[in-house]
Amino acid sequence: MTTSTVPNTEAGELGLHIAARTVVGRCPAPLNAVEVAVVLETCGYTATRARALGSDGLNALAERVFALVPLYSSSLSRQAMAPVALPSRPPGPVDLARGLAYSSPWLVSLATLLIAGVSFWSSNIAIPSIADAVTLATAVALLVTGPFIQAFGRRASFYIGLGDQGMLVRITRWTLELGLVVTSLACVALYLVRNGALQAGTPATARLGLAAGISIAALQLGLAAFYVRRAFLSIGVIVGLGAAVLIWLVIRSGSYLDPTTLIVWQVRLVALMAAVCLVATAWWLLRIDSSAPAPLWRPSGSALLRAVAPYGLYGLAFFAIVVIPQLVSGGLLDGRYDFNAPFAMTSGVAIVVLVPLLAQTVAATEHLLSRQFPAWLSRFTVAQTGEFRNEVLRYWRAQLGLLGALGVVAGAAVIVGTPRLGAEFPILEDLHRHPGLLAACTVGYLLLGTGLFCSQLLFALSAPMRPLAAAWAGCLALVTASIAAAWSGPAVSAVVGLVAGAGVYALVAVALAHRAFAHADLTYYRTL
Amino acid sequence: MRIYLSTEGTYPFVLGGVSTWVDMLVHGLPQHQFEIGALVDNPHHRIRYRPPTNVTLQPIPLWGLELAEEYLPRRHGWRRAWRTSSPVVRDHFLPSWEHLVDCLAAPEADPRALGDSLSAVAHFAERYDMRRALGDAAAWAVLHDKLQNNPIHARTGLAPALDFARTLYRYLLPLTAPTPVCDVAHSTAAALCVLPAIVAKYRYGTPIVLTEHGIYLRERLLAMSAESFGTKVLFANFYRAVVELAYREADVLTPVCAYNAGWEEALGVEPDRIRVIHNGVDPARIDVWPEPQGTPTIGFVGRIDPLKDVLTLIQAFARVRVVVRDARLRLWGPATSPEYLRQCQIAVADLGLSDVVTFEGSTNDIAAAYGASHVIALSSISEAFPYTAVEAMLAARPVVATAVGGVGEALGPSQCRGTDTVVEPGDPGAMAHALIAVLGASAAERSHLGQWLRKRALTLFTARRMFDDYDDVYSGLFDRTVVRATQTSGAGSESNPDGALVSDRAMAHAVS
Repeated sequence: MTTSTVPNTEAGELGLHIAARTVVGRCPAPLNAVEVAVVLETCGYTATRARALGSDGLNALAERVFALVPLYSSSLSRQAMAPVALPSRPPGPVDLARGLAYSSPWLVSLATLLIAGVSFWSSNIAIPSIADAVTLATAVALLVTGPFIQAFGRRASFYIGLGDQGMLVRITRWTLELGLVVTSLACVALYLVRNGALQAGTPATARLGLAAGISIAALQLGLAAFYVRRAFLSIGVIVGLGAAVLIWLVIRSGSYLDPTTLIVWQVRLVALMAAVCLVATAWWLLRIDSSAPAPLWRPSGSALLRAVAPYGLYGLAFFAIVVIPQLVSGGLLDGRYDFNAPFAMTSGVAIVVLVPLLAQTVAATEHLLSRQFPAWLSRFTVAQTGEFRNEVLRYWRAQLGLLGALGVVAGAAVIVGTPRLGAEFPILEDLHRHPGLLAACTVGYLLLGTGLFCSQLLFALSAPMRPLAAAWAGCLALVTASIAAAWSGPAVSAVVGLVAGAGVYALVAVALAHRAFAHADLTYYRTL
Repeated sequence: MRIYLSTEGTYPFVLGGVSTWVDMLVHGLPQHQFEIGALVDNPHHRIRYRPPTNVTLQPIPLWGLELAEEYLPRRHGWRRAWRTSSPVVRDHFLPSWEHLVDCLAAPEADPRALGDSLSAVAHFAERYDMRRALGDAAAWAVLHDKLQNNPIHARTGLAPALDFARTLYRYLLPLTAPTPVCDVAHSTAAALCVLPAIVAKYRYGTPIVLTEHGIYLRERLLAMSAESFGTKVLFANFYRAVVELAYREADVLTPVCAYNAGWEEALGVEPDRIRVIHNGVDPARIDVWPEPQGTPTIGFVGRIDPLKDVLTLIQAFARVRVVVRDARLRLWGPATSPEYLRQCQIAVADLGLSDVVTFEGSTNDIAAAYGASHVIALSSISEAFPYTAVEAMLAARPVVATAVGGVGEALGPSQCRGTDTVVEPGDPGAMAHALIAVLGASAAERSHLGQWLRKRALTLFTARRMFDDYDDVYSGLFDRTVVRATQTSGAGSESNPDGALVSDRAMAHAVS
């Protein structure tokens, strides 16, 4: 070693250490010499400078600097990856109140029933032919709009999550337009079959049925756009105003109100509410800030259909579980339909148990998605996946337990309480004659609510195939049980079908949801 | 010839840089038909360049969709999904997936093994539904177990681990993009956009040209430098896998400068597959303006970005002002980082230069910006082969620049009054010294240097030369394909590992 090289080497060594400190300052934990070379380069190290530090080039310099990195990089930077936990709290009263707001159409209907003695959505009408027409039209409207609403809800939420207002506008428009066309065609087909082929009822009642079907479908579709935007208050206001008009009409007409006039007014009001929803949605669509460029290419219809098909098919099966018992109670298994007033009344009252269950469903779903899941993920490491799964399972069980408690309270209130209201509210005066039917329907809807709760949680985790399987299993059980119980009469057959269908739906949904929560990491990963 | 040209986040949706290069290429080679596969982050973009008639465009969005088929003309999606059953996933996907995950999780992964495993996944994606395969419980089990049993990743948060796993689906989407039968596939980066080209090679035997403007791996590592170690290992290994696969499958690599070629060689590419083709500029676009009268002006044309190291330029300018008291600095270009722009403005104010340093913003009239300057300064700490340098040369302006990337190749042995005009990066003193030399020279000396640079640019960096070089590369690969097709047809058909005929269609097309 010559005397002249000693200072150079020392300078080189010092330079290497300076370089290592510089690299660690920019990149606390470099992976390899390649990354060190990249960082050195952006710090102004060139081949010339590398040679000045005694290396052949930048890559050779990087190799030497990388060897020095552990001296300056805290060992923690390679290891300190303990996640920072996000705060979380369980769903509280505010969440539950939002969930109740979700059911505002129902709550308004209940209030109308108690105040004015008329049910907003019911086809419980004194004139049988009108009741037949309206019930069938409602069934068709629900069955056709159900798939649209579910599929739309999924895709719209997807675009909301992406902040893609342009596609949200498009998907809302497509759903409203296509949904209205399809439901109108279905209602017209029903009208033609009943009026033309079967000669059932009078032409006037058939026309009323047509109008009722289209109005209800339009309202369902119109409200869906509000639900997707979580505009629960607007929903309450629109439906509340409609109810106020109906109550005013009933009170103003005095002691007697012609049932035909009443149903015509009901249909008009529903149509008006639907129109308000559609106009408000159109206004929203026009106002929305879509400064983002429109997609240059439209998504393929076939691919879009494949993406939302599980949601649509689920919607069809779910509404089938709601609607088929009504049809069976009217004699569907005998190839006819005659409005079954006792079943319609008891099931119409029993379905109220869904209100608290829906509130809990909405509260748990929104809480899980927006707060709880991110908090869990932020708290656990890969090595703690087992603990993560246990925590998720505990949450799931707690929420299911809360749902069960709510269901028991609501069910008891309906079974025990509502027949006693018959003295004050004439519309409920016949309830005490059908305690078994009321209890069975209540149990059926409690089970339906449980299935719905699990399904919504699974949808929130983007796991649509499980609710789909549960709903269709329920449908199959419903049909099988109804046929098996057909010998005992339409009402019993209907209620057996409802309990069996909703029961299987709930059982399968609970089992599948349990599995999904037990492997929550896999479930989340699958959202891809 | 039909060229499959794959881009990523650039043409025709983003202005400048690689997009400009693609636009020039497709306009400059009208004899070829270009089928552009444009990888974009989402389907919502505005077209910024009007493609000429010899271009057809297929966007490949990675996000903003649930199924790959939503924006891709890919048929039989239902059938493909149906075919991808759990046993199929177990038999045909999991082995390659496990291999890929092994490689991705290793702190010092073997690049070749990474490339192999990605190649196997690409083969799977040709026939089956990637989303279903990745969504299979067994796929997650493999990934999770590998991470859990690895001391580095076991301590990684569940959130970043899951995000990485889910991001992989998006990153692998280009493998599912339909690639047309073409004579040559040309990828504009060794990035995700190379994946469709690789599929074309596997399916039809289409030869691949790979042009690197920046070094993808280098850019990704820079972007991730502050990430935690565990996450960085996973992502960096994935990028490394893509780069390795790209380098391995490319028949010809055409980096835009020798500097990039050096990186490619350092990353394992054999030199005989590399052919440097410098970016070219159309001289007609750049008018030569006479030197401005009056205040000595230093011009900067580029983004106000940390990589451009404008702060060093400002510090250098402060030193220039000590000697050339009436000098001014004009900076043309958009700010990519408001924070960095603020730092620059504060530096200008602190140095008392507010009256003589101006941020001019973006300009469409680049020739005017060069024309208004006595000397152009380029202070970057990282570059590939910047258009600014070549444009300034064509504008016959002296250039003082840092010796990064291909800048030195562009400017050559440029000197003014015995002072090198290419200086070390991050050294305000050296840059100031060179700027003072240029501004202190006579107008005739500056003109002489400017003319010398212009002559160099006209000789080496014209658009025509670039077009001819690419045409030559395409023709060479095309001829090679034809020869191979002829030999194959003489020797009988050859099968690829999937059992499909290798590029029969492509070869027939090539022969015709």
